[in-house]
Amino acid sequence: MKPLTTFQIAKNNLRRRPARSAGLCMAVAVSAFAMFGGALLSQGVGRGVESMSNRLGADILVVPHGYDKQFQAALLRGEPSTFYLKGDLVDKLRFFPGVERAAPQLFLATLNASCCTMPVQVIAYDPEADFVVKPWVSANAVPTPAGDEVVVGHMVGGETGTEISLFGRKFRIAARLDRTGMGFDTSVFMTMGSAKKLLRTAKNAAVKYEPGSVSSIMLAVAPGLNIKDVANAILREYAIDYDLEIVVSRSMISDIAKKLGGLSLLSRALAALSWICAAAALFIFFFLMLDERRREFGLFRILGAKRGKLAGIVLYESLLVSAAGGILGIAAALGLTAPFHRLITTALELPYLAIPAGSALVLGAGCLLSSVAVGPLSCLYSAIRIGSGDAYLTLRSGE
Amino acid sequence: MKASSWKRSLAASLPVAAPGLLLAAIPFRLFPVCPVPHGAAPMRCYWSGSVLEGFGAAFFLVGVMLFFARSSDMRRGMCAAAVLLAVTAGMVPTHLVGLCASPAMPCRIGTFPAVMVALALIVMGSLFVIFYLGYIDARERRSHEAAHDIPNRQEQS
Repeated sequence: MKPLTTFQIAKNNLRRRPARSAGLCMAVAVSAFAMFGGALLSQGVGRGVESMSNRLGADILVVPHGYDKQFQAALLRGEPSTFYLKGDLVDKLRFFPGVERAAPQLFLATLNASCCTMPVQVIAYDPEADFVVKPWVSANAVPTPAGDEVVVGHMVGGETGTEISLFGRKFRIAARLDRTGMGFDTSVFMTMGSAKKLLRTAKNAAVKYEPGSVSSIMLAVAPGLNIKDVANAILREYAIDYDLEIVVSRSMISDIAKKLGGLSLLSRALAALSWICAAAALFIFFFLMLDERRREFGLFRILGAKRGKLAGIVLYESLLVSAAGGILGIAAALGLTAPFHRLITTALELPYLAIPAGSALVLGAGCLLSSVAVGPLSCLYSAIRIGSGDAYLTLRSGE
Repeated sequence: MKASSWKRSLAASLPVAAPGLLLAAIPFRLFPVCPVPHGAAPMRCYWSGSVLEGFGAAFFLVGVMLFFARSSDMRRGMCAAAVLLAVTAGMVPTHLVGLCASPAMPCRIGTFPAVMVALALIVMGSLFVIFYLGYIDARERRSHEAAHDIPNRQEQS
């Protein structure tokens, strides 16, 4: 038979009332789930926004009118789309007052032509003029793709050195980029020259292309100038002739950051609320339990147990309940948030970059600690009050 | 049926039947696979979804059989088979049939994780039933032995 230690008594007390123990455990589990799941999501989105902000070096993005949402969807989530602007606008904007650099890009969506081939976003860039894609492609130690080569995003299928078929033509995968958390992960990159050549020789005529067209033009504004003033000047000059729309990248990122702020606040509020609810539930339970078990504790005292021993029993009970609930909640958060993060962030229209395993471990440990703490903290008052009265009178109470 | 026996039947059945039902509902109801374009051939995920729906129905039936099975050994055997069946079902979208190639498709971001969570629940549920029945049987055996020890001790005294 096991020795009747304080821990063993607490454990037996919990086992004797499985439904009550499970209920308390669930209260703590919900709190731990909200805390850890919310933190995982908001930190992942935070990293995604940071990654996007670091990679988007342009101040102004020029796209065809009505395509700003598609452009953002392509950047954020890699949702494939094809759109064109007249190509001669590039040179006009390059020499526009206040514009320091202009880099055209061509966005092409491959077709969902046959069974099991899915559309991907092809992004073609001009290696000579580009200042947006090239720097971080190079930062990944990836060379500029040659004629029949492409660089693929982290989540595009196919190994480096193998071939990928785009518009009926084979390209060699020269390299794979690191995970970015944005639409670039599901995009394929090639040079503008290769893309134009591809479009001219494309086997199927499903992609309509007007020679010389581009999809977007990324602009860097000269230092010291107001970006919005330059954007307004471009709109005044070319909005009607070229039917264009302007996206100011800082506004786009600040809009996303606002969404992130909302998500972060919501997850923190939910975590705090559920922690308070769990603490309140445990406090009320242990407070009421003290009355219910008054005679039991009185008997313990008559048998020689000190007040500290009784407090220990209560503290152990709460510790065991909160530890089990905390582990359960964190496991459930990990089991649900990790596999569904893409679904959640797609629904929220936010970029997402999973936090490293080490950081997740630290975060999980922190959440577990605060979940475990909720039990002993909430029953501290009951533990102090326990055994305060006379043992004999306590035992006879209620008779 | 005694209350304790009814509870035990439910405890043996529910951990397998409920996630089985969930699995059956995932591919075409809760987290649907990619829609089939009008006039086009269905993609791999559609066939994976059909197979997994069948697996879900099979798990539900196993759960129902667990409720009516009388012997603990038979229940444990059925749960062990359910674990193996769940592993096989897990191979349907990964190795046997497959899903759409693009990681951004609905079958990849919704259906696949949901199926894996349901299968994990089935495996955990089956293991729970195996250990729970083992624990209950051992407890009953102990109390039975203890009950038969009392007259022997009296005889000795």
